[in-house]
Amino acid sequence: MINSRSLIVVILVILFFIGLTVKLVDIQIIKSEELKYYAKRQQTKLETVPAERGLIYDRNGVLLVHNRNDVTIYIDLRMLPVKKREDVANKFSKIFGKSKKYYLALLKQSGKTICIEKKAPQEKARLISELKMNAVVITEDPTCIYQYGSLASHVLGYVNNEYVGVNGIAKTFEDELDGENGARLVERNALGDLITISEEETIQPVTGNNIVLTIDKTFQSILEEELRDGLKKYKGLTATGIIMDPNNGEILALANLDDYDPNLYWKFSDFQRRNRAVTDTYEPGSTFKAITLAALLNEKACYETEVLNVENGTYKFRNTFIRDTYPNDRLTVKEVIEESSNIGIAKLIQRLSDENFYKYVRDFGFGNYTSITLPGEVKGTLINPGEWSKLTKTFMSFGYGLAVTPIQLTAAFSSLINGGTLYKPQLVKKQINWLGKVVYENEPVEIRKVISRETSQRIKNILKSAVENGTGKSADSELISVGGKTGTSKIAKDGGYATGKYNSSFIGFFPADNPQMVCLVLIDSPELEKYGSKVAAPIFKNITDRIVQSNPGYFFKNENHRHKKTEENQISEVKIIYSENHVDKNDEAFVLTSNTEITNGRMPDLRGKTLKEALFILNEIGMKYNIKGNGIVNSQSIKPGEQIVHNKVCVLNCSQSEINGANVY
Amino acid sequence: MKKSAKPLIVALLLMLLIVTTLILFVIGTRFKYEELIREKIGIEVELRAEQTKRTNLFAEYQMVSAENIIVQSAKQDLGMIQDYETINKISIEKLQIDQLNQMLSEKYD
Repeated sequence: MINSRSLIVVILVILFFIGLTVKLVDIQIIKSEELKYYAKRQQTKLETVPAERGLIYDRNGVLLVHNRNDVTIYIDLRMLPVKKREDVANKFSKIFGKSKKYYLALLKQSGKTICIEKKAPQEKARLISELKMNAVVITEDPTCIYQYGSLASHVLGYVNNEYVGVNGIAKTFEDELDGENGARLVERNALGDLITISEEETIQPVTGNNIVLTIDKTFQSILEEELRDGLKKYKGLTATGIIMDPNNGEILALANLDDYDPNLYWKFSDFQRRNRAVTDTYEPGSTFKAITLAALLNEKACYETEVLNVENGTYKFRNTFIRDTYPNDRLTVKEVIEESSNIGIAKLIQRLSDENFYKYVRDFGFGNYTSITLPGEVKGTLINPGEWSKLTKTFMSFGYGLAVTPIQLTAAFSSLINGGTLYKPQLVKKQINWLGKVVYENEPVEIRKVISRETSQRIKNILKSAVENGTGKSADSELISVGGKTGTSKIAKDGGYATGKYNSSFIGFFPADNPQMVCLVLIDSPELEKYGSKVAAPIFKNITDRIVQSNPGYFFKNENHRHKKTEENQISEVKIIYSENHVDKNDEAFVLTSNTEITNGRMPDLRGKTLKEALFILNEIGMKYNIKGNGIVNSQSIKPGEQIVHNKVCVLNCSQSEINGANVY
Repeated sequence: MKKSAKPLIVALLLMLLIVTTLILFVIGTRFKYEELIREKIGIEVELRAEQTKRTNLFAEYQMVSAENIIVQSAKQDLGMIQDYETINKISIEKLQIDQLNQMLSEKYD
């Protein structure tokens, strides 16, 4: 009996298992695909894993743009009972520091889902997720951080709400910066909690490339600060400045004022966000005379010492009067540039045919895109010679009748003084991928040879002279030799010219003998002064001085630079710098640190100096000397400031003592 | 029947036990796997956040340690003055320096 019952139980168990197996086969094998499909559709979702955006650095590795992993928090009101709203508001209030009322007001809104916190820091979002509130949905919402606010805003551009680059480098290199989004198959339960992720179906995101710009953050700051100060001082409307390396076309700084803060881009107008250095044109005025003269010199149509009659400042040409700001009777060609004579250059340009002059202007890049990697560039206005009036060429010779962008003029001017080669302006030095590998490195792009090396050298000398003796005097720096040209042009408006409105500009280069930088300063409608020599040139000088002070090695490393006006200046620090060709650049001879005057024929104060320093100075001024003791100079037989008498011997009394470090600040 | 049924039942129950244990083991492993995946995702998010934080701190560090900031602080907060306005730079050929050194050496010798 027991056996029979056992048999029945065994049979039932076997039947049960057979039934189970049949069902399993049905589920797992026969209906497997169908059920898998439904299950997958219900529980899994293909989620995008956003790629991290690339970073932007300046040429020295200073991080200008980076990202923050912010999140946006939503509440699904359908899953939040009314009685729990107060509790949720309370928790949010504690974590985010806003009032409970604020959150309650948000939770009272109609709709299925509401955004309760936008761009919240991830740390706070983690606190929220730890509370395990069912109705809360947290999504990644990264933010681009522009570390230095408005600095270089027109170069960097900005990223909009959809995290897409608008303007500047952010737009041009959107694909490279953006990276490639990944994807993952996520399984979630009914409450939206993560169950698992299918590893096999996960595509990892690829972080965007980092971009290293040619911009130098220090130079950029200097340019912006000086333009801002200049704009304020002369009550100008707007200002534009560009600093370029003429030897390769790299842009070291580019600024437009007013500018904007890319972190708060929505608060600024389209005008403020527009990069006027590439999108707006103006008539360059007298700065263009250098271009005209380069064409003339290259064609051997004139020479520097040739004398011209400049008609005492007023010249009637084809029933139109051409006037000079500074009237002269006669000027040499060189003086035409120094004095910025419209009459002189107008007379000279008649020696070139329309076609030939047009060819030069075109070759310098005017009337064409520079192809800089910034959006919205315009090519300016350069009329075809077939459409020129009888006056077009004449007026064009001194910068009227054509419209140029500041970037075009800077690139063209660079070619004037770099040996005659027009380079493409560049803003990106290299791109580095997330593994640190350089994926792209920009080389200088030579567009064409416009003028000969010899012409370039001659123009450089003339422009140097224009600063030393001509209208550009106020751009002259005590620290470095400078060349350049001023420009003052009327502002075109409604087919004519606006009354009393001028563009004041100065474009210059330094060091004059071996230019490392070209700098354009353009002030729109200054109220207090109108001339480029009074407005833009002093701003240029300030920029030059600060740049040289900030990084003297930049200019002196490649050349045996001799300072000008040595005898005029009080020396507080004499640093011996010599050519890299001769010795190692770190192998400095010695440094004098205390105050020493080498004034015209006067005895310097040598007290407190080391013997070596004192002897150096005495040798410099050619004085004989006698030394008593060793170490530091205690006294000198010829008193400081006394007239130096030839052949007189200076006795230096020295003793051993310690020198304390000199204060720099 | 009495002798042969018992071992069969025991064998079947044993098999059932083994299968059940295996199933439980598989389920347990799967749960653990899923938990580890969740943990991994969480750690990945944290890692990214930390990396971003590090980048942010690096940017902050560069900003506060920039020369112009230090100079500004030295001038405004500490009242120091920068003694660069009268700096004069003179370049001399190495040959001249050597001559000068030689001259000095001779004088002292």
